[in-house]
Amino acid sequence: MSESAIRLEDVTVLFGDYEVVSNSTVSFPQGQVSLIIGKAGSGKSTLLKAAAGLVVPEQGHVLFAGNDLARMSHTENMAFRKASSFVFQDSALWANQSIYNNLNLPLAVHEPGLPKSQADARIREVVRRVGYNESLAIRPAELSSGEQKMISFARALVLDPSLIFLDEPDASLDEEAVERVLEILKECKRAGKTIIIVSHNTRLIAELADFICVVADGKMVSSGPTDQIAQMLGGELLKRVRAVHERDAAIDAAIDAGSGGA
Amino acid sequence: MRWTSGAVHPILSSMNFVTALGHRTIDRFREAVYALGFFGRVLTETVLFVRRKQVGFKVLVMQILFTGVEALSISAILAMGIGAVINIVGLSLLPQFGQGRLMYVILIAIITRELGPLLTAFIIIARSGTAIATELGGMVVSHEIEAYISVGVDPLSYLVVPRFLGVTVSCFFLNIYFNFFGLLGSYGVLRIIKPLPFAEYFQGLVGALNGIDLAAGLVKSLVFGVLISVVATYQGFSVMRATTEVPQAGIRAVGQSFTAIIIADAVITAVSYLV
Repeated sequence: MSESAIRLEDVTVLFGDYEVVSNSTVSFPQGQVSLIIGKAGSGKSTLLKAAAGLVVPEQGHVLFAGNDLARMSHTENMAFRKASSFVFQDSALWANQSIYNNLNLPLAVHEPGLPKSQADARIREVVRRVGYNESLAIRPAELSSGEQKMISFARALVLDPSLIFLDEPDASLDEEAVERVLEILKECKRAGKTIIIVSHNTRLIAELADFICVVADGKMVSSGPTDQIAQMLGGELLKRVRAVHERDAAIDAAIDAGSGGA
Repeated sequence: MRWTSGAVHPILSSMNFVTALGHRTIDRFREAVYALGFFGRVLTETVLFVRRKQVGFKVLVMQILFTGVEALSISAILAMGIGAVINIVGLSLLPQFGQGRLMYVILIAIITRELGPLLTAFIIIARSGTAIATELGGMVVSHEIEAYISVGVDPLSYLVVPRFLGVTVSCFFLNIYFNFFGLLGSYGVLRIIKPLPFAEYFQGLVGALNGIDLAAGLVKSLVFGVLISVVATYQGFSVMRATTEVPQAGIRAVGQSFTAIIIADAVITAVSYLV
């Protein structure tokens, strides 16, 4: 089993008196794509936010590189924030700032000495990756929800983090944009980044996931490698996972045949 | 009366009332402690904000622009109007009792010590207090606050401290501006109704002015600025998830700010008269 990037130990999250996440323990493996799945309202997003240190657990610990997020010093916390990013389900762009400022703020916070020309180049690069062609001077409200989502994605990539949290990354995106997101996530996966995703999309799960956590009623029902969980759950997910395996095997065989003939 | 098994026994009913009252008191006490902790963190972060080179500096400038600069015209109109009314009433009534010179003492007491800081605070509550509470509440609902945390920006440092400093500084200078227009600007209005040499008017004002009047007014404006900004930001962050909570936070910010500044006004006035 590979080393864990983020580990939740006996985490319980309360909203008022309501227990959204109950005594959950899970380790998200380093350099792999983990998917959190479960029914709507099962506590997936809250679990993700707890893992990202955006929700403080009532009980338990969230460990990053062995350090409890709740007990980190300012310097350690800033290092964690620089190394991680979060894509929100509803984009959560800063409405009173331009698209440029939305993308520039993480750079201004973590790399204050970066020359403007280099910051601009980084911003141009991430907007190119997400396929955004509109002005950077406009505000988020002037964009469609799909474009806002892509900018939110660009904001998460601008610091080139090693750990990316995504809450329903395909929500409010059209087919073309989903393909682009999938491509970017595959690039990130190849680059060895740790990616933790909340999604219902079986295709996304089958294409990307190395590790799956199943959440129900705020509790961690099971977690493990994708094949194992797909076998357990069966249905559409299992079909998708098998199809991806067959396709990947066919691609590998074609590559082998091509290199053999050369 | 016979107690039947279906009804709640009167003793149990009164016990429930006491229990509910106890829970409510504990909740209020916890909330008060939390609010004090929030205020303490705002003060700590303010010191750090001044020391560090902060990205929130632009937010501070924008807050001063919105709270201070954009309120100049309404403050001037209000100050001149109030000053003129006090002048007219004073000049009409006081000479009848042979106390014409008292007009200046009353003018200074009312404008500098009381109405200047209070009306400036009212203007700021109406414009900025509501705006800050609803803006921050909206940001909580749309997860913008979480987005700040996710990129390593402390919302208290980036969103609260610039508003705290901006509102407090604006309240202080807007009060001085209000006094200027209330005392001197109103002379222009007064002249239309009652011709009075400016030198006589000005000397009368200077003669009536003392250090305690000035200090009390300035201290009040600073305290009011602190109270309005802390209450508004605290209420903004009290929003949890629903958009319907946002206007409620705005209403609470206005109500609590009014209450807080009236209490603070009474305390500072009492202390200033005791000094």
